[in-house]
Amino acid sequence: MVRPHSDRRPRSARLLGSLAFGAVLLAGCGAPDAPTPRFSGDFTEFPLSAGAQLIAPSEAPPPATEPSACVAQASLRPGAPSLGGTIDDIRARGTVVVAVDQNTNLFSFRDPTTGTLTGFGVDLAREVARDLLGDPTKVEFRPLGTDDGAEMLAHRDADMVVRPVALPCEVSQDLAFSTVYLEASRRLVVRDGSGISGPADLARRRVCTHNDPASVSALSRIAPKATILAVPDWDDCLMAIQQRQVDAVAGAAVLAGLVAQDPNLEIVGPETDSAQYTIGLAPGNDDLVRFVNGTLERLRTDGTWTALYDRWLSSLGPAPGPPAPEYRD
Amino acid sequence: MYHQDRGAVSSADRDTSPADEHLLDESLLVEPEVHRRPWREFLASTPGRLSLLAVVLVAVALTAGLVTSAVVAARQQRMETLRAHTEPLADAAQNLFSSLSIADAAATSSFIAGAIEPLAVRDRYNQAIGDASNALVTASYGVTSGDVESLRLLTEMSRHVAVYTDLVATARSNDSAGNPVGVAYLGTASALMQDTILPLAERLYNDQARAVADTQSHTARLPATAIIVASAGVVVLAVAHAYVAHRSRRRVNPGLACATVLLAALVVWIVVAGLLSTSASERARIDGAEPLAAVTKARILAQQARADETLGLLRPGFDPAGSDYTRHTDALAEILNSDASRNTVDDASAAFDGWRAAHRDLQQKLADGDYQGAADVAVGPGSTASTAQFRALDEGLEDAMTALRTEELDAMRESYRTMAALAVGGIVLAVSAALAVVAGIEPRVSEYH
Repeated sequence: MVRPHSDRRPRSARLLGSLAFGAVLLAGCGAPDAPTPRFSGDFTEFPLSAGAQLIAPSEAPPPATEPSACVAQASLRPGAPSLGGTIDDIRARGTVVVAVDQNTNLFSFRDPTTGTLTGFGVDLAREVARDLLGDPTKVEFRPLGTDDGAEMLAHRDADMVVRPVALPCEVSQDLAFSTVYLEASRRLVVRDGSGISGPADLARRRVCTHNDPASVSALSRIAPKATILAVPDWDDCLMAIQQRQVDAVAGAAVLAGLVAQDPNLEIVGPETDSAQYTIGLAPGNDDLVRFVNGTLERLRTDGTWTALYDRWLSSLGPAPGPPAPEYRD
Repeated sequence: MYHQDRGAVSSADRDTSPADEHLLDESLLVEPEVHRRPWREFLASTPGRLSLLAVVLVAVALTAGLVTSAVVAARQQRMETLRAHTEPLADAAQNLFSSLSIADAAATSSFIAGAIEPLAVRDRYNQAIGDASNALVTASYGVTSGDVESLRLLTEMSRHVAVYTDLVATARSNDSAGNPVGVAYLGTASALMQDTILPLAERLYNDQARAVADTQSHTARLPATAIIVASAGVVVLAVAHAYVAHRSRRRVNPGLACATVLLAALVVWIVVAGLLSTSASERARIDGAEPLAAVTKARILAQQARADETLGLLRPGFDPAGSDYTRHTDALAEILNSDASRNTVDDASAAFDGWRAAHRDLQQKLADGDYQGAADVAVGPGSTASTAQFRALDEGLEDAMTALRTEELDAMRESYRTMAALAVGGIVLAVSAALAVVAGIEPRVSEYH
């Protein structure tokens, strides 16, 4: 009767002891060992290109700038150059120095297969050299930064600037401009079958454009409810639409260079709002302005302009005919 | 037992007073002094005192041995962890950091038309991406599950490297199809590498390099505890020897003298091995780990500057002043001119000056509109062109890194080896000293029997 009782005490003590030992083991091994962390997140979107910035749609009503206010100012009429001016300097030097952007397909770009600089803007510069020096190859091209080139012109590091950027509404006083050498509608590049047919479809979507003031303000005017991705190179826009980071690219003549690189893209939108392209020159160099305008006049009349357009920009549609020059004297 | 107990209780119940009396008598008879007296007498006697002394001296000798062994074993364990774990991990982090920057420099140079050996550049890219992927897994192998920060760095890098290779592949296929958009992809890939991945790799590398330096500076301290305890043991044994020799009217007690000498030998051993080992540890840090970290940074800066140089040619106007190249090469020049690495990178310094001269030439050609000339300087053949100079610089830095790591590992091995026998040797000497104590005192005790 009592013997089993006196025997049970050590057994229960042993049980308690083993429980305590187990608890110590659990506390010793389990607690300080942190569980392996899990890492998760949304990794669906690739990084945006370097220098890209997102501009959210503004709540304020769009600026009431009329598209007509953004037309180029009238330029100087071609005429015989006076002696001793810039033109003589260039002829003495033997080359025309032209600042060009080097990363805009079909306009001024380095052909990846040949490594040479080529495009519509490059050919234009060569035509100026043909008239000025009698040889279209006598051109030195200087890389242009993301600015408008006014500083290079002021430092005489370049004689002229050919940029695939439409004239902004507020024309800089640091630059003189030639007559308009190209006029193109501001339209959209979208993926085939995207359902976007014009600016009205861009609300609450993301749209890419070049980060120059003219392109950004034009886009926020026609699509005020779209989020804008502003990038330093037009090809960054092509990358963004290929990577599905944007639904459309807004631009004008340069859109030809984007669709040429991707058969799954198409140009859509009304042909209303037009962008104008001119050659930038140093202010006060009236001689050179007149001379360049003379070359542009020749291109318009001798058929070279149409040949250049057909060579580079035919994907924008059939050649519309060269833009008519406007002269102020 | 049960019945007896019960019988005892019941008999006590029945007849209480005699039992009480009996119990009280017993407790009164148990007098504590009766038990202590023989001990006290024994300890008061000379053989007793000598025996107690022997016990104390044996304990002192064994303590000195055990403390030395424990201290040295802990230090050796730390060095072994450094050799087998921490340092290889830092090396993996360094590999990751280097190979990622090599991949980026190779990717951008392979895009310039007319490159000297496009196949070699492409091989270099593929090799660097393979090395980086290996290093990612090797580096994560050593990270404990509690080190959330390192794991986060590694997961982010692994994710971004996958995106990076995707972007480079897209850039390549566009480039070979003649689409200039390839350069935009390449620019985005390079920006991802330079602005996101490399800073992550640098943080991981810095953490691991600091862990190595921490262990090395810790093992560069003399084992003071062991020296103090063992020296105290020598003093105690020497005093005891003087006492016993005086009491026995002899000049020398051979046992105790032997024990003192043995323990003194242990002290000498700890000090000599400690000095050799700590100076080797210090050398591993000063001549190995620290310049290695500096040269590693230099090599990565060189690769970054090379990527800046070639990308500047591909995207002229993006960074017209070449400010990234200038920033990276200025930091590189600072490292090459610093005292820490000057002796190891003489060849690299000469190549670096040549490369900077080639780059100035390139910039001048680019500013003059001579693109082909600039491209020839950047990736063309010729011993004064950028490619050759940059390769010489990179090889010089890589050789320096290999030499520094060999130096570091050798010093670490030496530091380990010089103390390797001490953990066991300390115990052996201490036990021998304890036996000598017994051998020295036992004859004196038996003289009294």
